Amino acid sequence: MAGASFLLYQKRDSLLERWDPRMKIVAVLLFGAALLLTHSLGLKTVQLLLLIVLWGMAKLSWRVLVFTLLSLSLFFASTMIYQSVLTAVPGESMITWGWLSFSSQGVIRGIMMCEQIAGIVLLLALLVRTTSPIILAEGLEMLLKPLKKWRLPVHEAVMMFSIALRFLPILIEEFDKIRKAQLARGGGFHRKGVSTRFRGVLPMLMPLFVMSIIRAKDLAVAMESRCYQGDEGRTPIRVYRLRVSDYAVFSFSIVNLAAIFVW
Amino acid sequence: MIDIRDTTFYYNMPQDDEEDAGRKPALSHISLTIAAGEFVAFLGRNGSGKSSLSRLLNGIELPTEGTVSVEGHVTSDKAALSAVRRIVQIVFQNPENQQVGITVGEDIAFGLSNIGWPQHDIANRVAWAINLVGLDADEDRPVSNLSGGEKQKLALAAVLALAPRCLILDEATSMLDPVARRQFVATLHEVRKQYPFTLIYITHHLEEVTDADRWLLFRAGKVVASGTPNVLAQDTRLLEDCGLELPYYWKLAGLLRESGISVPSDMNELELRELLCKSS
Repeated sequence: MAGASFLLYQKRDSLLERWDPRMKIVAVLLFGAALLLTHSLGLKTVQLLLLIVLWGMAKLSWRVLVFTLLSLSLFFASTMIYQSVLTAVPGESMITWGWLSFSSQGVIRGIMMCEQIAGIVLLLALLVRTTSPIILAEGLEMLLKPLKKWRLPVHEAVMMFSIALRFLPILIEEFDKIRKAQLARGGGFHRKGVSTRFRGVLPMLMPLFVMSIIRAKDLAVAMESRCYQGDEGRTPIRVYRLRVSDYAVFSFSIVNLAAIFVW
Repeated sequence: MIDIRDTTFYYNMPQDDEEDAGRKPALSHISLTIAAGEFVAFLGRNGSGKSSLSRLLNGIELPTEGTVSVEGHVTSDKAALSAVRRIVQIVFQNPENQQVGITVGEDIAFGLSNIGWPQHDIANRVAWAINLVGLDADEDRPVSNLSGGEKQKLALAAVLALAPRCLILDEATSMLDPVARRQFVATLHEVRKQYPFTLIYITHHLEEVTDADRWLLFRAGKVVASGTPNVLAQDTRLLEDCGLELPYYWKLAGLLRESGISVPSDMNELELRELLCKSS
């Protein structure tokens, strides 16, 4: 359950929750681009620290932050090994530590790559944990509105996305129930070798898949009976107006992106 | 209000090949009318056709043969479907599978948004619906934090917000514990006193529909009996045949009658207790 908890929205009345969803999505894209394009360790570290400050401002749990970063530790370790040991370029200064020798440039590259991975994950977690799926979907739909001119099913795609987010906790809970039921019957993938564990996954995924189909069918019927017929004739639930804070977020994201070309 | 004429319904139309030759319809030649404001209970075993008929009334499914019309709108007319759904709303069995919003307010607003409710009034209407069903939650409360009974009250609020003139409860209490079930039924009757809509109640629990105007007993896709609860309750064999069991106090009243004690047929639980206390 905790594995996907970083993806779950909970109302906390924070400043970030009050930001306009359109601006949040744009800011995430701009910040993400800045994270990917920055080649300076200092700037990447500042960006990561900034995301941690935003995490605090969003009143999100520090425990979840630590858990999220720890869950990436395997990625961090493999990235560090790959960058510092396996991609060492001849001529780079080498650091020798016991029998191990690695490139000092590679270590910096590895740290930057780890910061990048952590930054992207925190950025997305910040977006989905501070924005209700329906508000997120509305924001996304407003941003993608121009694509409707080419008859792209923007509303339907966004609705599917928001429902998928809405049902994520239910599916996780269901997976947990099936896992425990399989364990109670002597099955499951908690013991023996890798192949046995791997084979144990299938009996859990199949019932989950079937349940998901049944739920999706029931939900479709319920939505239809509540007069849902796509975006035809729908009233927006909320009216979004950009405020000074939203413009400030946008301006900051632009400055952050521009900074990488200056630094 | 609702007029069903010689309606037959198959979930999958039978083909002429051998395998499908024996496939039976979910509903077979049903004809009935339901008057505005009536409280009708659909009773019968699982698979007897109760839920299938309720889906035809909301236009989720269309009849294979015959017609279903709601306040003059024929459900098979695509142009009338939206009007039909505004008139007839359904609360389903599993509350989790009918909630779209992540918070109470979002879920109620979903239906309002679909019918083009004026944007400036959506928040008021959401608050009105929450208050109407007595849901002890504000509109920002996450749906996942509600108990089973509260989730079903939310489902009720979400459909009542759309001001339906006919409400169908499709085994809406079957996933609730006895206390939550009693509360849900009490809430429903309270709401109905204020807004006397047509109520179609699908259940296996007869004690929830003892005060219905009419019971319709379903068996194998057909309506085998229709009448007031007092009349149909006398035919215990028919009820058993339809997989139904009378409430304990009706059974007791029947046994007392068999022993020669005069017990009026319209006696409720409390009146029977009073009678027994007096006689002792």
